[in-house]
Amino acid sequence: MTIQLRSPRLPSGNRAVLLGLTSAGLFLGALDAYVVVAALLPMLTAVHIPVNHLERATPIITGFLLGYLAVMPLSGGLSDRFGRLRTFGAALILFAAGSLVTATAVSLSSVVVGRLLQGAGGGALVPVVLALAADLYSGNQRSRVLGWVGGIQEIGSVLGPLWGGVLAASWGWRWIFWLNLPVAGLILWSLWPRVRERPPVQGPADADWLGAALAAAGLGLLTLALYAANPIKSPVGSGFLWQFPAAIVFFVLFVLRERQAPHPLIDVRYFAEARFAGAAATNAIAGAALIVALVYIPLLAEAPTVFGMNSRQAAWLLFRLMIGIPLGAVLGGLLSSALGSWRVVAAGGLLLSGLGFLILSRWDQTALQPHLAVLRAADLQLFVTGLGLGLLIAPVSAALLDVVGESQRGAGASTLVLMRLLGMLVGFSALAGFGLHSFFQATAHLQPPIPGFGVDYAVRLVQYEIRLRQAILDEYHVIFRTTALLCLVGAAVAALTLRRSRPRPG
Amino acid sequence: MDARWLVATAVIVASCGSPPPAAAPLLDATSHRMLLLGSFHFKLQAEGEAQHPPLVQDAEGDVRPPDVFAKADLHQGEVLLEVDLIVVGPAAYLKSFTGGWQQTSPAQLAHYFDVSALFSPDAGLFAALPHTVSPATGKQGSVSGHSTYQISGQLPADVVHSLLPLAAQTGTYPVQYWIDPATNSLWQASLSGPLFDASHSSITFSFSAFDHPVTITPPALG
Repeated sequence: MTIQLRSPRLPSGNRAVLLGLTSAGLFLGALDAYVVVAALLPMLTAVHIPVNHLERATPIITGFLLGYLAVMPLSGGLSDRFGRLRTFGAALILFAAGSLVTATAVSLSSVVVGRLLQGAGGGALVPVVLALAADLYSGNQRSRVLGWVGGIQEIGSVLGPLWGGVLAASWGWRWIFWLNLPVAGLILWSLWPRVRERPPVQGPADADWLGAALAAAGLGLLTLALYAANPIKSPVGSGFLWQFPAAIVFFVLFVLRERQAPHPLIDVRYFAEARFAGAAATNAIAGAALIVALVYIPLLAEAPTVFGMNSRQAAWLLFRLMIGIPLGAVLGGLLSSALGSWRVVAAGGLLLSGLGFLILSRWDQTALQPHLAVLRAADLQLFVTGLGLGLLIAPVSAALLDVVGESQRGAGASTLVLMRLLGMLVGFSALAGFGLHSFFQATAHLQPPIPGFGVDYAVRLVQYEIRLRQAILDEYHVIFRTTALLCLVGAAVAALTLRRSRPRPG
Repeated sequence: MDARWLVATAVIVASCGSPPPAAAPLLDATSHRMLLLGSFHFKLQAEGEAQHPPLVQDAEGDVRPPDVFAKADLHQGEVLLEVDLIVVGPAAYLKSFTGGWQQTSPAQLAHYFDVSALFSPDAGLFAALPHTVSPATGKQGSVSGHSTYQISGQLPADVVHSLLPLAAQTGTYPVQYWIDPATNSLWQASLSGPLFDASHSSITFSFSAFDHPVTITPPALG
């Protein structure tokens, strides 16, 4: 890339243009967060992983989350030091490199590495764009712009599964990742003069590398500990007994480090405040519930003996839930103001979602049949589940920001994203192994009929398929019931902690 | 032959490097040598059209002729299904997505993938080597650390059909072998054509661990 071609570029001094371009990068990263969920089965087939080893899909999901969580807390501090747009450019290049690795992957390990890099780049974008928005706008405008940037992130992640499913079914899943390259390239090209610029005054080197390393080590070990590489034998990893305690040790060290670091990645002292801790925990639980829906609804839809959908149909089915989230988010904001309560709306949202998961956990192969003309009960059930997850976004954010104050708005928003992803990583890692373990236990003696001729084989094949479908449904029922329970716990946490502060004396 | 000629030939051969071996005698000798192996490890990888993937995507296992223990990934609609296969004498065993080992027969195994047919002493790949039509020696190269010559030719359809029962029974199939002429060892082979259905696919075999100790026993059922 050369720098002589300045003239045709957009006037990047304009702050709206700057924010627009960086938000486009943020949108691209958010779009890819859950883009694989409807395309998992074709991706596994392409890298020669048989369905007998569905557990190997787990790192495709957890790899992205891990990369995101490991890098996101660092990038805000790095952008103080190296400049917002330089850090933005580096993050976008990392994201594009991850997309290239994933698009060209011929083995599972390259898919996982690609997704990890995508997660690291996509995660790094979030605090940088939030910080840039806060630099560019001030006062009342700042809150509105930050809300807008958060909304772009949310819409990207809602559309991601649909985008991935539709592309996978029509052009093949690799296009999901190829298409990122020209878009990322165009954004980089447009911003290049600003990306190259050194910031006039370099900020202090306040990136807490030690804290980041401790957190990444703890998260990596926890993910490994929970990864059931052999789900027939165990619902957790073979090294669980040492990895899990070691992960806890790293987390304790991380907290100790953060309490002393001059510029902590996360100000852990806030967790002493019940509202902050409650908001963080509620968001983590909502994240765990969301990833269960994101992964298991398309998997169930695509399971050959259950609904047998393709990636596109599965993505559209999931979209009924996903579209509930932004609508719920807007509604949650209005309701919080109207009712003057955060905890009623947040707890209500999780209760609604929990109820949704409970109803979804009763689905069988007739669940998608129409009930009233074109309306299906299933569509409403999915929508309500998503709506509940959306409702809690505004009150939880408001409660958390009330603790940290308006000046720390960006940091607060980042904490919420981190907690949601942490909930996703831990929740999914634990449930994936647990679900597959119970499936393999249930089917350990379910013998498939061996092909032959005659009526006997056909009858036995049908019987086998019925029992296999029941085993798949049973696995999914257990996972969804557990998620419903988790939502109820989250509702209780929200109800107990998210009180509005009384007006301060004086 | 005159002893001086032999010496002279040996000197010329030693000074110029070995000339490319004649294809047909090398295939005969390699067939003989490979059929005498007590055991070996094999891998196979198939490639096909995206719209019509080959039934068998890949397979790997140990052979102690005529017994075989192998894992194979089979295309079932949009997904791959892993099956474990054991053939011991006349008995065959199968383990699929769910459940444990079941006893079956090689004939029934053919509905999935009868891996024992590939390496059968009578009609398997090694027995097929001398049936290669118009074999020609190609370039020299290294295959997993072994110095080999590439031999290409065609295999008649009936020979291929006995290896892969789904292969169409008309015409000929292009085949290539990578053989070390010093030891008559076949290290790699590839076969292409309508191997599993009307669409074109190709299989690459690679072999290793010749005469390593291998025991293949009937599995515990259930």
